[in-house]
Amino acid sequence: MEEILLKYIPNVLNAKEELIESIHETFIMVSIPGVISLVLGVLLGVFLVVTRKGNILENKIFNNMLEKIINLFRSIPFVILIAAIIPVTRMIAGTAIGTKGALVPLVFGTVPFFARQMESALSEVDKGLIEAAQSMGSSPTDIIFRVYLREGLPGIIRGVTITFVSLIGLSAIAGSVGGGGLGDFAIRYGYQRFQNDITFVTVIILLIFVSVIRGIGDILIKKVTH
Amino acid sequence: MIEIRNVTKTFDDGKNKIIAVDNVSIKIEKGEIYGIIGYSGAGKSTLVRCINLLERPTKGKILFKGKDLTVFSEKNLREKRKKIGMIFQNFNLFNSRNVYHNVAYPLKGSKLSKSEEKKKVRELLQLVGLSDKENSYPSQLSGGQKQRVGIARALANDPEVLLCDEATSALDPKTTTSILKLLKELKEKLGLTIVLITHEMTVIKEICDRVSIMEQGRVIEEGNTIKIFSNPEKEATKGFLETATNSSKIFDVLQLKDNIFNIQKDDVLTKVNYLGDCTKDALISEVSRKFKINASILYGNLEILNQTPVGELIVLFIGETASIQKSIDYFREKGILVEVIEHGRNSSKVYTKCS
Ligand SMILES: Nc1ncnc2c1ncn2[C@@H]1O[C@H](COP(=O)(O)OP(=O)(O)OP(=O)(O)O)[C@@H](O)[C@H]1O
Ligand SMILES: [Mg+2]
Repeated sequence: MEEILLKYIPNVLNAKEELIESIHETFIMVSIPGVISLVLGVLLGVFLVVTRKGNILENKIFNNMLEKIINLFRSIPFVILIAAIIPVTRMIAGTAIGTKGALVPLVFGTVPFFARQMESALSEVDKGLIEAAQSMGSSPTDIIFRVYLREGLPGIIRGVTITFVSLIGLSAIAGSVGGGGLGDFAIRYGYQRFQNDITFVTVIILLIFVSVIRGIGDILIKKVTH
Repeated sequence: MIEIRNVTKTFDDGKNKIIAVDNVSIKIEKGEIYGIIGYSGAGKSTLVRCINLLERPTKGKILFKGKDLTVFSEKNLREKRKKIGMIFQNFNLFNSRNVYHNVAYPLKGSKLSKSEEKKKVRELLQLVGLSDKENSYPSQLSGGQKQRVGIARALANDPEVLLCDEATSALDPKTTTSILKLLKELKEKLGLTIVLITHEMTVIKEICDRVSIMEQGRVIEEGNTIKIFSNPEKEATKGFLETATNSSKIFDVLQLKDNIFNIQKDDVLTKVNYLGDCTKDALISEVSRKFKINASILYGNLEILNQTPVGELIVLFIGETASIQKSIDYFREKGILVEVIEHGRNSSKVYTKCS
């Protein structure tokens, strides 16, 4: 076993410690911004939907503003976003470099994306259900929690899955500009030192990450769909 | 129980202005089943949604037990809505909840304990005949069963009124009948007032005490179902009635060139409508004997509305013109409505109920 590994992926074995460290960093860059974005994204997605024209908390001005802000952030390429919000990052995280410095841009990059995912998931909830809930005397808060977030759950989980997968991608970008993680690892060893086995193993690990996230998503969706 | 007073609803998207409901006034009494019938786009749904203010009337009032709902605060309105149940064409059940939790949905905040809630839900499911489906999800139910869950859910807060928007339109005829029967039972058992929207006259015929016919946002005719069936005034109403009977077909046949009934120039073709127990005297044979004419029935239809027979016949009178006139007069004296078809004279409508 040892021999086979040495033969095919010698550089990976040499950089074993760094690899494990990178996996850990990627894990942090995905999980922490992921959870924060989840909360903020759900909030924004709900607001986007319920303040729309004809919906339970119709509010044209608020809805318009939200739309504009989300579109703005969505249209900035992530690498540029990282640079553009350095002052904000410093203010919040205390530093703009390393894994810690990557967390803030990752949140900024993910929240608008996830908010849109949420919006489309919640839009799929049949208007008739909202109407039925209203006819039974449900308040807007009730409708959000007991109808939208519940009936939209399969779509929400799908959105969360896609968001986490895209976060892995963003974390690799963030890593390559100094944030650490698997992206950084692959670039430093695989790309710059032509150690192809490192690139290859990194790709495999990322693939496993993505598959695991997808798998969990699919299982959950199956569980909540009746 | 409910009074719709001069309600108008316009939709205005900046470019087009649609008057969906146009100055409608309807008074619905406690314990009756009130039908509203009209073609697609007539404004029925908009009107019924105005009743529980899912749609806010542009003008007019909605009085529920004498109180104007349009001036209520959102919070008070929500309380009132609990007393006005609603069921829908697409059932609108929560797919993520099983039957039990669909029915229990509106009970949140009602201060029932868990065990009281359980008791209530079981009672409701028993009422609609679905006790064995408690743990099923909507996707596992048939259309009729889904509507039963919808009804149970709508009744959870013991409403006094049940609004039904095309509640049977997605169901087959047999299931429709069973749902209508259930609604009728509920009215009897719970003293429920029911407002029922439909485009099917057969539904009106089956259970409605009174009915309004809507066209282009307006109520064009209103009255108790028996009256509407036996003596409709407006063309649109007649159109609907024909969908519930075969009488339009007989007219098609009569208009055929080949004259399959062999109608002669002096024969008089009539449409005869009667109500109640006029039937018990053998009137057709009586006039035949008395006035020496022949009367042949080309078509007949009998409806039973609220235990009252409502009949329609197409009768061909053959004989001397004067005798035929006497026969028709004799029928009219007996309180039977006779309308002459394809004959120079204007038909006069004299109508009195048989005693
Ligand atoms: N939210 C809305 N915005 C604009 N127009 C509307 C809206 N709701 C209904 N309308 C219009 O109002 C009119 C009446 O619609 P409504 O749904 O009340 O008809 P209906 O009698 O229930 O028809 P159907 O039998 O097809 O359900 C239609 O012309 C419809 O296009
Ligand atoms: Mg409708």
